[in-house]
Amino acid sequence: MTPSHLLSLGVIISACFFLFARFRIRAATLQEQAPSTSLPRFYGWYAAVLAFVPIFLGVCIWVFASTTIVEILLVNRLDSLFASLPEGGRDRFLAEMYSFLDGQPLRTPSPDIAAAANMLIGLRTPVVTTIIALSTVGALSLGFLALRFIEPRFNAHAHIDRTVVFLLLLCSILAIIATLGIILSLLFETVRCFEFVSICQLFSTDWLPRAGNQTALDGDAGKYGVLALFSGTFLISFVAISIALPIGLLVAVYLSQYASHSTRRISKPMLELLAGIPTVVYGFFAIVLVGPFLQRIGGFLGLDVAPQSAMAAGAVMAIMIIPYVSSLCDDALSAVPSALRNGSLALGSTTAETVLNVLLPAALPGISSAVLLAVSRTIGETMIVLMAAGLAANLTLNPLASVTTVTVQIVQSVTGDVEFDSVKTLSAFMLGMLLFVTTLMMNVFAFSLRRRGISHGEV
Amino acid sequence: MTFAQTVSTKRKLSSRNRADTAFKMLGRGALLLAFCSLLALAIAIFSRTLPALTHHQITLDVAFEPDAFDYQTSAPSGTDASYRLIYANYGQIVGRSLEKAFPEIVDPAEKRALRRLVSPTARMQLRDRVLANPSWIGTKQRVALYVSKGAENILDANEETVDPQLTLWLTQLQDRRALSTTFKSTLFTRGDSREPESAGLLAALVGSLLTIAVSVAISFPVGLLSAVYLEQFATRSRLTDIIEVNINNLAAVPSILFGLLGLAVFINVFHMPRSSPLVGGLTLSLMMLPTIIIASRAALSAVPNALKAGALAVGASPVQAIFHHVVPQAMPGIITGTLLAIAQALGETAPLLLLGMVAFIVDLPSEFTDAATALPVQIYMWAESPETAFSNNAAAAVVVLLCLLLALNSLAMILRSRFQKRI
Amino acid sequence: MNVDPSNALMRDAEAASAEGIPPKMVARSVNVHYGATHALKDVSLDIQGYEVTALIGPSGCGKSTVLRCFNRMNEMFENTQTSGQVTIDGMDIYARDIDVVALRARVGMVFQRPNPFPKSIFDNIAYGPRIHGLAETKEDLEQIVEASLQRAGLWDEVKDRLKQSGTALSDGQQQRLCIARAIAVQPEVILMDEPCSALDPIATGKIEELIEELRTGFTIVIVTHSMQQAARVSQRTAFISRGELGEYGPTVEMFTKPRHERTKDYIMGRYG
Ligand SMILES: Nc1ncnc2c1ncn2[C@@H]1O[C@H](COP(=O)(O)OP(=O)(O)OP(=O)(O)O)[C@@H](O)[C@H]1O
Ligand SMILES: [Mg+2]
Repeated sequence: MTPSHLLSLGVIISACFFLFARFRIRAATLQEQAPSTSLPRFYGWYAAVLAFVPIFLGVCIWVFASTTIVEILLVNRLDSLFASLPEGGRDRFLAEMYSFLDGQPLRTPSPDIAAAANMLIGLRTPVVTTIIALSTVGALSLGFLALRFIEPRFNAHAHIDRTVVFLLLLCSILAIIATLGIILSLLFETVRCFEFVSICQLFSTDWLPRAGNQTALDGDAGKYGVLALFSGTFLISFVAISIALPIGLLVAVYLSQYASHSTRRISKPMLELLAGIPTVVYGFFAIVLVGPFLQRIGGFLGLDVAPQSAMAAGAVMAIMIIPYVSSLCDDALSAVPSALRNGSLALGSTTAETVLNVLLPAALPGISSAVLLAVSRTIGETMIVLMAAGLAANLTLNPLASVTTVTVQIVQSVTGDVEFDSVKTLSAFMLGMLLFVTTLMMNVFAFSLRRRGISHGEV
Repeated sequence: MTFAQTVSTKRKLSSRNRADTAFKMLGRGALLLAFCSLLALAIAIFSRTLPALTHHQITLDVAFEPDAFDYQTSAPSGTDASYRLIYANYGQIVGRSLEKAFPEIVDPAEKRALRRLVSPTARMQLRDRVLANPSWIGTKQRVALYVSKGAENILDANEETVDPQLTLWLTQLQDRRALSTTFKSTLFTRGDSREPESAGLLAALVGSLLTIAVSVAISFPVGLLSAVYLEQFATRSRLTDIIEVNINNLAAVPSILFGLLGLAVFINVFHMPRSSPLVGGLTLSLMMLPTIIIASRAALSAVPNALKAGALAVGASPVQAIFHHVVPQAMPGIITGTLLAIAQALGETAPLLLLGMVAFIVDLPSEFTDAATALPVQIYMWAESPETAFSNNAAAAVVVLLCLLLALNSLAMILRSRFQKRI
Repeated sequence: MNVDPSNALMRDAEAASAEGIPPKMVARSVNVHYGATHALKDVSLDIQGYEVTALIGPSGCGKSTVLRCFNRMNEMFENTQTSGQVTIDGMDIYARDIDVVALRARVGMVFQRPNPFPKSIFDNIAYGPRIHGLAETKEDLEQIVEASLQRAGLWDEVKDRLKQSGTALSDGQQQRLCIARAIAVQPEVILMDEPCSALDPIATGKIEELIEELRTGFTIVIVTHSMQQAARVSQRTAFISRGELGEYGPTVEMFTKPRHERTKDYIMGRYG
């Protein structure tokens, strides 16, 4: 039996209760000679929904939590074994057991591990059986309970409506849970990371994380200085913004002030096209064209350009964010009251003078907010830098050198064999936390700037 | 004085106008630059797509001499006649045909080197042909065989180390018009492979579709329902303010952090299968949620209130009025938003990398818990390969991905215009 | 009913129900607040059964608000507070255990702008009967739809295109469709909020005839800005000004010898 089978069983049970309940309310109205408050189908729904709740919970527990429950039971049984293991040995033992179960053992399993794996498999069946039994019994009893409630004066429709609204509320709370999940998972693993890495260590320039088993061998957890990562991130971001901002701003000004209607009608979708291209495609573009091209130009000029340079990543990222920057600048420009623009034009200024002397100063808060949002976008961008920038941490301001970024190192730390007890994996979450805080602050600041810009514009 | 003033003003005016024109040209240049980069991107991709989609073939006179079919002296008992055809010595047949095509070569080492012209899969090609036409045994046929990877690299002018001997032979074959190209369908019918010429993107495509199916199955209903709640039922309160701020912030969180969330929650806490479309889809659904909620709210708030009032006035409950009238009316807008969110998720790579979907997948995944990869991740893996042939495959995969995105976007656009017409 | 005899307005209401038939709907000391706006102040009004009652008064005085009190449509808006008592056949419609859905099935409403559902004409009419389970079979439903359209005087115009969208009709037809939609649930009272304000004189004429016709089966409350219309269609008229009930009595009396100066001014067109 799989969760989907249980789900089907639930649907069948609910359908039965739907029919029962409808039959029952029809009989009751005939008997009492009184019309029912709601239509018969609402009584049906009432019983069906009530009966479905336990099954749904059961399926959720099965899908999300059964493995955890089984593990807890197993750990309880093997208490004495784990007591003899060194610190952290339990997690490693479990990890090894899971990889043995997956059929990809890290090394030939010890008899203990094989025995534990067998015990785990043995525990799965009773746990699943219990879940199925409990949810089915729950469904039947709630269904019969619902049938007992049903009588003509009972307003089933109102109950159904309230249930629906509750469901809607649950759905919107899920959005909070997602954010909370991000924050909590980052926070939790970051705290664990700081058990191994001291905070002062972050403010150094060496980034040399070590994988789990190596840590166990020599006790050296590696070096976790994030300065070089952030310098690389901001270097690429700086390159990207210094290309994209002038171009994006000029495009926005041109399209809003000069361009004919037909140019606008063609250009806007083209820019949207540029914005809709996945970042992995830009990364590919950087690998096959921009990187080699820059290297060739560098060779021609006698400059030493790394094959994977901050310049290449920044340039491609600039192409990616030009549409974003130009649409944000467009918003900022159009938030400027037209009276200001018309006033300046009426004084005999040319369009260029109006733009430079009136529009841009008035739109400055909006444009700054656009820059911040764009920077936050480039900092969080992963694929382009992963493909176009380097891997080695390198504290430099030279855009032609190879640098690495926070996002690249996150990917590097958690691809391949992930062990959740290794400092290397935990360091990815620590970097994620730093990234989250940085981008969140920028976004919040950018939104407040924009709001100020708009209210300023309306005065 | 007044005259001089006029002249100076005039001069100033014309210089001001020149400045204005220059500024305008600058803007036009910026726009052009943006389009040029789009063009360069398109050229970089399309120029590499063609080699990935074609196979070069050598047309040879192949003699199917009977002795090659008696190579295995005794068939195991219980096998039928086709055994003889399957296990014939096709390598020998290929070799002899090549030697016949180049009669001037006598040196045995060079003769053996000739086999480097055709792909190792040529034997399989011959076997399939013979299995289809057993009467060919003992006859001579003109057959087109795939060239080897080395020859392919030379013919596609890839930047790989070139074998001068092969180049010479290939030019000779070209002069004899014995070379041709065919469409390479393996790209669309197979999973990944260690060999670029037999690598396909179907497994990645199926992985992407499974992933998107999971994420839409979750994010569409949840997004729609929470939009309905926020737009129609929620009275402004602390809770709704928090939800609102949350959704806006969630939309701006870097996508890689969703990957970390999926890793920590779905894989580490819930022990769901790594590399599976289930986990990938769950994670992407969280990313799609804000997009769908924001689009759905806009669509719902655009529905005139009079519609709801009309339904309420005939005795519909608020839930009925909204789900019978308001939501259907907003549906085109909601679906448009969902399509755009799907397009976004379809191109998303970074979170999937973290969830282990960066796997070497040969067989098509058939379940949500199978190990799988996704189209953009496949592009990433191929693009990172130093072999040009893989890079070309990546370009072809990019074209497929872009076509899918274009289709989704056009569908969204059509829906939107239909919707606008109806109002 | 606890009536304060010293209240002049009350006496009007008493006088109105001269024949001693109990009124269909009664509002007593109704106050409505929209947030900080005090939209209705202590309004008391009796609606006599099988009559047309017109509500007149300057714009923004609270006519629509009074109307919406009778089917609790004010609750659609956020931050609305209603106090006082409104009854239908003596039953308090603001009591806790009242099902608004059932109430609105008894008190239908037609709006200022025609608002047919973007569905077929048939589905527009059938929607109400469907959600209230008024028709057991498809034939029943078709019969209800035909009867309602007949009653609304629209049948002959649309009988061949019931599958067409309701929004494709002319404005006047749409408004009659909305009336038919309201009739289809077989309400006892129909509330009409300026049903003719978006229509041309001919369509208006048709609706007025229809109202006259409908009076035989329904109790009608109508808000109108046109004195002539009030005079033509209604038996009773209530004049509302600044959220208060200014004067209430038989239409004929109101238009020939208004008791209050303000009413007179409004009717003569000197105030508004
Ligand atoms: N939804 C609402 N929210 C806040 N205030 C409202 C709302 N509806 C009405 N009001 C206020 O209540 C008062 C009465 O409004 P109502 O709509 O009842 O007037 P009315 O007499 O129908 O006017 P009109 O003849 O223009 O339709 C007005 O001052 C109006 O501003
Ligand atoms: Mg009104």
